[in-house]
Amino acid sequence: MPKNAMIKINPKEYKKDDLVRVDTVIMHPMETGLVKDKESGKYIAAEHITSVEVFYGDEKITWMEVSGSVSANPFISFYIKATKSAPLKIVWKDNKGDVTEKVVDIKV
Amino acid sequence: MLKNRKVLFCLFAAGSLIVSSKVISAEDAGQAISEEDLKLYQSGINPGEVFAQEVGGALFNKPMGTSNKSCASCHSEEKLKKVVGTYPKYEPKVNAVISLQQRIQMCQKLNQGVEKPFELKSQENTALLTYLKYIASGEKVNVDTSSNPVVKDYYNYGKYVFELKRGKRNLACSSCHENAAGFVLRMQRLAPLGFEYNGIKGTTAAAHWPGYRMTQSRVVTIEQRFQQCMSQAGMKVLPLGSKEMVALELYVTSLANGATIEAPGLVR
Repeated sequence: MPKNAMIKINPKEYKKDDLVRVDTVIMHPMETGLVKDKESGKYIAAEHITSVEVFYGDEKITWMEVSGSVSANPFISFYIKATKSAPLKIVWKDNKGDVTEKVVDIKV
Repeated sequence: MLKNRKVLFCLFAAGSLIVSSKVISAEDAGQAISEEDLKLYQSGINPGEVFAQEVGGALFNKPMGTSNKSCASCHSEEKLKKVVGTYPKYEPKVNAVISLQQRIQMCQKLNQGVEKPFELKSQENTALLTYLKYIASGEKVNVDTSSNPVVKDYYNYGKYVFELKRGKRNLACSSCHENAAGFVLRMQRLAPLGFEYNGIKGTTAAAHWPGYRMTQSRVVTIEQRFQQCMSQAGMKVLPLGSKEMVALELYVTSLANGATIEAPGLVR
């Protein structure tokens, strides 16, 4: 099941070739698999993001490998140069096979 | 770094600052999160916003109950955001003051025809509340405290609950949030509620609740926060939605009257 996620472009107004900051948050529990459930005493199964990929238009512009050591609801932020009008797509994949996709349109 | 060292020195020197006579300014008080990180968090996305928009927004537009209506089929966001800041509010149908969460339940039961409205502690009710506060961001808090006897009664009762010493440590809300204002407790400055108290700059906290608690990685409502504070202070925890809780919420919210709503807040 896809998780809830959000993308914001900072600042909101930009011109062509401006550096803009892309802020993303995904609501993900990021379980490491090392924590015990207080009531049942059993280990909570690992559930964490393994990769984040960023596509600008057709091109994959960056990617990230993520492990269970990252905190819950990870906030990831990076800069891009707004060179063209194209959709910016971010894909989060986790170790349980869940894929979350979110798209914003970059308009210059 | 130097600032932190100063605070640490003071902590060791005084043992516990709450009993020392030195009042530390807000600038000297240690933050649980560094200022750069806090700025980045505030300029970026607060995970509470995702919760408000994705979970709360979806529930707001979802048809429910026998009438098969969603919240959005009756309420326009433009009108709603004007009234969000006025809760807790007097409700003539029950002749009592009710919180916004209870108003959501009432609307579900009476207008939507839902058999079991979302419980106050449920994630769904919190999500709807967070969404309403989120769309009302930028509006002012404006609760009424004196228009009729019932409201006055609730306001005075809330003040009484705020000042009543309870529990095994004999603490009241006001012990920390009024009498010890300006001191440091567990590396955090204790801010009084309201804009100002005895010359100390306070916090209009009610304006940024419900908030995303970084220590719990979830959105918590103001009443749930009261409960967590009560359990840590060794008091008997009051149930959500009780007269005491709503009265306390009314009193604390009235101290933030005039402040701009910024919800969901980013809180420790």
